[in-house]
Amino acid sequence: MSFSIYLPIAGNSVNVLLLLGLGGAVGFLSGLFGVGGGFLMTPLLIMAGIPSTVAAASDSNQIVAASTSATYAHYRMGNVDFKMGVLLLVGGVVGGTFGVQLIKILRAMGNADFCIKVTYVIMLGVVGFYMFMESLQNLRKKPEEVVAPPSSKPSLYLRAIQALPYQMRFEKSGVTLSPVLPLILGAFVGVLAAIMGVGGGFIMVPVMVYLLRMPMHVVVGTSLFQILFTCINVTIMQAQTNHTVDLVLAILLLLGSTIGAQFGARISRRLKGDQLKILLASLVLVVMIQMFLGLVLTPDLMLSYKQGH
Amino acid sequence: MRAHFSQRVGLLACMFLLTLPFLAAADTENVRMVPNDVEIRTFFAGASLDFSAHIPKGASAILEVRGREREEHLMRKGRRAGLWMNVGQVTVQGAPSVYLCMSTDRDFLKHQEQPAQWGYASIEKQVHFSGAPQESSNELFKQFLALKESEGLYGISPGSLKVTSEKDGSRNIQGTIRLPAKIPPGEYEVHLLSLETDKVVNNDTLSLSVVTKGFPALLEELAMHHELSYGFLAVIIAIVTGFAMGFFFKSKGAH
Repeated sequence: MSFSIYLPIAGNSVNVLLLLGLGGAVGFLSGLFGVGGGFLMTPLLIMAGIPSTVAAASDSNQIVAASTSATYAHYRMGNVDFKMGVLLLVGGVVGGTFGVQLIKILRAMGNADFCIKVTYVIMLGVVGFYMFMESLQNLRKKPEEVVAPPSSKPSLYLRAIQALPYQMRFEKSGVTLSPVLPLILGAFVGVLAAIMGVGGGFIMVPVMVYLLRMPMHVVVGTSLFQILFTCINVTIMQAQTNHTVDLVLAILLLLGSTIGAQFGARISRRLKGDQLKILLASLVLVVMIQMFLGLVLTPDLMLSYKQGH
Repeated sequence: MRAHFSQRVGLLACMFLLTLPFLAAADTENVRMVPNDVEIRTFFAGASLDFSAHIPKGASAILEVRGREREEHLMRKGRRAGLWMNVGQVTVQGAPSVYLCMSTDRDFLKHQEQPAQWGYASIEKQVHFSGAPQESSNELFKQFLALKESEGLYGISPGSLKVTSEKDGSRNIQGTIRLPAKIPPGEYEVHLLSLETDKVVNNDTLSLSVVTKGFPALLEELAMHHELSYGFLAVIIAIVTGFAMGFFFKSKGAH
């Protein structure tokens, strides 16, 4: 019996079990770390023979399902700060719009691909390395060393964010800060996400942990909430503008990912914040190395389809 | 009387011409192809075309499946600051969307008179590249072939047409061509060339239609002509599935 199914928009036939397995694995990571998984899923789909634009667009649709499933699971566990999530989302939409215009300018100059790939490798490397070292350091410390005594002099960064106007309390995250900060950071992540063509989760998570000072478990749920709406927007835009959303592909992926996301969310609760961070950092570094090798090793094929199709 | 006779001849000629397409649909006098049409449905994973044909005794044969020529826009890779990435665009004109070829003789696809009439050499002479000043056309054509072969859309199988019997001054040959799952819907031409001493003595042509039917056709129609509804449908299905899974796991004691 053949387990192949024809994907009408992708114009190709793929094994059903492969798609369910891919969806399950990436959904698990989504629920575990609070990332959309696009930076993993899209390259894997391309390797399975799906054109890159169809892979990216259909993956956004899959992320909607996995994010809905995982956000709901984290919401039930009290891990979603909706107030913070909305502010990050608004900033992200503004930043993403600017990022799209920036890409247009770079394309006109002929440097878009170079900028995108180098940005990817640098961001993944910086984020992954910093998270890995910081988490490793914390895991090695004895419990009494981790809780640092309160310092009489707050850091420069802390003083700067406390000086911002309209300070408000975010109960779920347990932080007090100005809404200006999540708006600005959300916009920054939106620009990067537009350049790199991802949901932004692997950038947003470190931003929330290190710059917004949110606890890791709330970061996971809140990040998923923000990714959910970003990907709803991307799915509709891709379907309308580029006709690249393959519903059959998306449904198979999301069947696997929604189940995987549930298990990932449950396991994330059992791990310490630093354990989650170090695992995510390791994953990010692996992807960075894979992308870097793709840049330095001679490719098998010197020609590819424009628009991936 | 003469005018009446001319009218009858003209009418007969018209009737004959009108029936020609139907005669070429599935088989000619010499070639039979099964199936004569390919339908892409939900579980389509490629298709096999079985051929049987009669060619003159002592002749060799070449069977080609050719798609329509179309313009393609490709990205070419190059090195910038030591890194491999897309550095420019190449436009390809005159190349068929699909080219699959098989022959009775193993060497036949390599050796032929010029101008080439079959094989990759026949495609190379009609293809035009623009937008890559550094690379030669020959080098670009090799890269283009590598891309198409990696997808199964181009392929050469020397010696895959088998001679099954010989009698009464003719040879019977049989072969199977595998159409890839990536084959685009459209109209294709199947050519059977009979050759004696490297010269084409007969050329039979069949038409092949590859069409999308059923659920894939419905989705294509929605995606291409009702884009906004399709986008919202995709999102709604995703959200409902996400919530449904959440409720299912909740009811199974997840939390």
